[in-house]
Amino acid sequence: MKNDKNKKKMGRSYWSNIWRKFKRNRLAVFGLVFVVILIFLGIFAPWLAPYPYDEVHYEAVWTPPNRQFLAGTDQLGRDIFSRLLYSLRNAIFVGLGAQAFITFIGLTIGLSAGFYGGTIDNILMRIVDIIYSFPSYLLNIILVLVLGRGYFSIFIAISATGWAGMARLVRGQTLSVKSRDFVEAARASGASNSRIMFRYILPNIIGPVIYAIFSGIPGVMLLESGLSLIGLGVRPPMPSWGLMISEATGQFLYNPYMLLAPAGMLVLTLLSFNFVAFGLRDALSARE
Amino acid sequence: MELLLSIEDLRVYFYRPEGVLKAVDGLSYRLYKGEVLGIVGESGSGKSVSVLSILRLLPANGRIVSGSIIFDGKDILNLSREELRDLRGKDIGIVFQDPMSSLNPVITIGQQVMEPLLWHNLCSRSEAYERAKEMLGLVGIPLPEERMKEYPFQFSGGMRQRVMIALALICRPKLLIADEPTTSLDVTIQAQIIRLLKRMKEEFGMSVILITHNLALTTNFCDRLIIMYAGNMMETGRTKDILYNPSHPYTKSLLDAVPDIEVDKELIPIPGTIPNLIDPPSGCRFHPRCPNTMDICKEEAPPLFDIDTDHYSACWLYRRA
Amino acid sequence: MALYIVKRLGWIIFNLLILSLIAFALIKSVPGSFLELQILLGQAGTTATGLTVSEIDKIRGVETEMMKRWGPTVPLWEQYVTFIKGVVTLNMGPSFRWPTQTIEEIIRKTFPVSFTIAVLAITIAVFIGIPLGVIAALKQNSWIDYLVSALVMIVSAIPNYVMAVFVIFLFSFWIPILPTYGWGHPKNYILPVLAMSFGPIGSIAGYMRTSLLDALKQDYIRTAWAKGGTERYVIFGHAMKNSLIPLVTILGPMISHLILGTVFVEGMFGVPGMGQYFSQAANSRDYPLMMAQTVIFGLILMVMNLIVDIIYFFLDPRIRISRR
Repeated sequence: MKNDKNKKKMGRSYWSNIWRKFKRNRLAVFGLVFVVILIFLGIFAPWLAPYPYDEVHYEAVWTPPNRQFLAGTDQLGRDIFSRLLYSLRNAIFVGLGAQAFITFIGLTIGLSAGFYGGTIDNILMRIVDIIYSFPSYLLNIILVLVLGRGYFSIFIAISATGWAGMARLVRGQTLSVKSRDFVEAARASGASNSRIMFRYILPNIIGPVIYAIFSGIPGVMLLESGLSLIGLGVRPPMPSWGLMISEATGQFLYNPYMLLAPAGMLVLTLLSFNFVAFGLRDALSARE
Repeated sequence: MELLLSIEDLRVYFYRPEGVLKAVDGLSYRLYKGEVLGIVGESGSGKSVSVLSILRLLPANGRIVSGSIIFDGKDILNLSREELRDLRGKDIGIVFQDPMSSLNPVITIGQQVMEPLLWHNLCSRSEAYERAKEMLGLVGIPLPEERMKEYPFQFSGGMRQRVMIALALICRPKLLIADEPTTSLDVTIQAQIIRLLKRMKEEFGMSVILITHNLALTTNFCDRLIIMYAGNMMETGRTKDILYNPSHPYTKSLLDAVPDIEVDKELIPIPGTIPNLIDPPSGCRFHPRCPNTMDICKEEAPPLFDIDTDHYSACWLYRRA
Repeated sequence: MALYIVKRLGWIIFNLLILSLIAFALIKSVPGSFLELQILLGQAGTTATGLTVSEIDKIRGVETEMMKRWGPTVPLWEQYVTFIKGVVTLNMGPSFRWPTQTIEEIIRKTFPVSFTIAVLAITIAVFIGIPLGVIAALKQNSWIDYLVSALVMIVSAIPNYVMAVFVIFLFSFWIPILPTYGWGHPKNYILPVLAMSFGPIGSIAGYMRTSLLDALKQDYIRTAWAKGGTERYVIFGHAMKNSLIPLVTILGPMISHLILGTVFVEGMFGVPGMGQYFSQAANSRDYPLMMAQTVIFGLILMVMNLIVDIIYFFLDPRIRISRR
């Protein structure tokens, strides 16, 4: 029991140390603030958006940004600002949701492969290698076709191929931690396998995993937008940045705001998550 | 004897976020041609830093803040980059502590040994090849021609250190610096490497500075010793005088801490720890750990006092009344 | 080495079989497959106006050909065997979406386009990214270093299809000297290549900077200085070698990403490449073409990765010799 207490204390100082280093990186803090704001905006989009995302204003088609329509309107007179907010909501749902799913599967498979080794490891890693070698975007597209267009399908499609990378990372980390003295000591003192995995190995690999989670979120988001861009993502009128970009490409000579608004939002969101990821990486890798 | 190297009042400071670390603080010594000098001290005593300064190979945060280093009539601290480069590898060769990390893993041994010759334009490539082959044979690498095509990871630790010695000596330098050349090697190999250095010294007649924390390695090799502690010289003299007639309390405690197979003696560890060099102790830096501390030791750093011919000790015990 | 390659090729065939099974199973379970088929065949008839007599004949033949291959009376396993046989013997039959062309004709036509774009983009990225990374590492904490670091962060956040938007924007409004859409002239290659090379430039520059800085800190670099090396000898003769070898390992995933990325980008520029054909095939439920393309894309990725591994094998003596 006493041992556990010490471990927890060590854990706390480990995190406060990372947090201290993270705080020193101004860009990372900036990114984190943005991420928090974006998640807030996404969650409360239905209350914050001035119009429903599918409300059509035929009288105000292709209106440039003004006081009534903060980011202008599109070819059906829908408020772009509201559509941006709903897109953000959907991107965050897919990004965080799929990444949570990927992390769960990746952790389970990576931990078991790394921890048990032998045949289990061989089989699991062979599966990972096979999925890794697949043309992932194409499978995502096919999966969306199978499940029907929409955010839930995108979420499943992305998770189905995305977990392989996470499993590989977790396995590698597990292998390097497994042979360390404190794991041997825990084993010698009769700790059960699950106890060793969750109390000793997991806390020691969580740093790189958190970095992978954060750096993976933008990837998921841009895949979602990409699928919508080529008409295989969300089902209109549900908005997505990718869909908005594709609707705007024919129009951008006359109404550039239609293109710049979703592209800008997408980049801003991805950059914010990336800044946090870079900051995490530096904070985790710095040795003192 | 002819003077080769003279160092006067050398001070090397490291600028760290926590403060200024005085790694070498007022070190002076001389080295004559054909002489073998041993610099002995614990890690952190500044012994490595003092010789890296001769080649001006300090890490980016290290500065030589004062002093002079005259090598073969040249003022090293005022040389241009070109002149300095000309000196490195050609007139001064160096062997580092860890031969695994000191050799480039993706370049062949042959190429790495030939490079000093080629970089200084001393000879053609084919001649460099012949000389490298000869030198590798000389340092005891069997089948040198085949092994030149191989990479460092294909060599054992001892063999790698032989390669390091070969590339340090390939230009026939006037000075060879061996910076803890045996520390990362097996005990059985350590003696072989020291014997090899000795043989090379006899073969080429260069001067040698051997840096070590192991007094035992100096006995049969070094003509003269410098004992360093916390960036200062504690004692210097001929090897025999220091080993059999140590004067400084630090040297004595160093010798007490060395095990001896033949004599069944009690090992006495030195109490305390190496001082923090950002905020070093006042006066004599050894005083917090010294068994003979006097009041003056805490206030004023001792100068070097004469003990015997060529034997000096920085300790207030030897102050003439 | 030969054994290693044979083994890898064996795995590639195995992986492709799995991939083809998954692709086949998934595509066959897409709802409404057969209905779509009828509709598309109907469309094929209507779009046939204006075609030559022989082409109309060809389209008539297509219907029977497709029924023979994928019709509802053909058992699934037979369809799968037909599909695999088609891939192996390069006789994959006609496409739904472009009934006048066979699938192998489409692939033969589109593959060089996408491949050229990907190769050009990666070449440009290597030739710009490496020097940028090297300069940033050598002038650490200078303005150019900050510029490169900022570039790395920004381009890694901008997907290539958004980059495409910006490029199209730039060349339509401010410097309208290059065609932003269409195909047929070598000039048409420039903008797609440009849009696709930004991401790789950023990642190569960033990777090169970190790995060169890391190499410069190593003990063997101190040895090289101690041997009397000039900047040129130490940096280009030693440190660069050590930092370029790991760079090869990130090229593999990068090329994969680039080739797959064509799916999103080609349509925006009107590039008739594999990517655009795949997204159009997916949009018009052209299942035979999708299945074939999935396997071909998979094959390209796997072969690319194998090539990268072979290059790495020859570059890094530690791996080359220990595996011999």
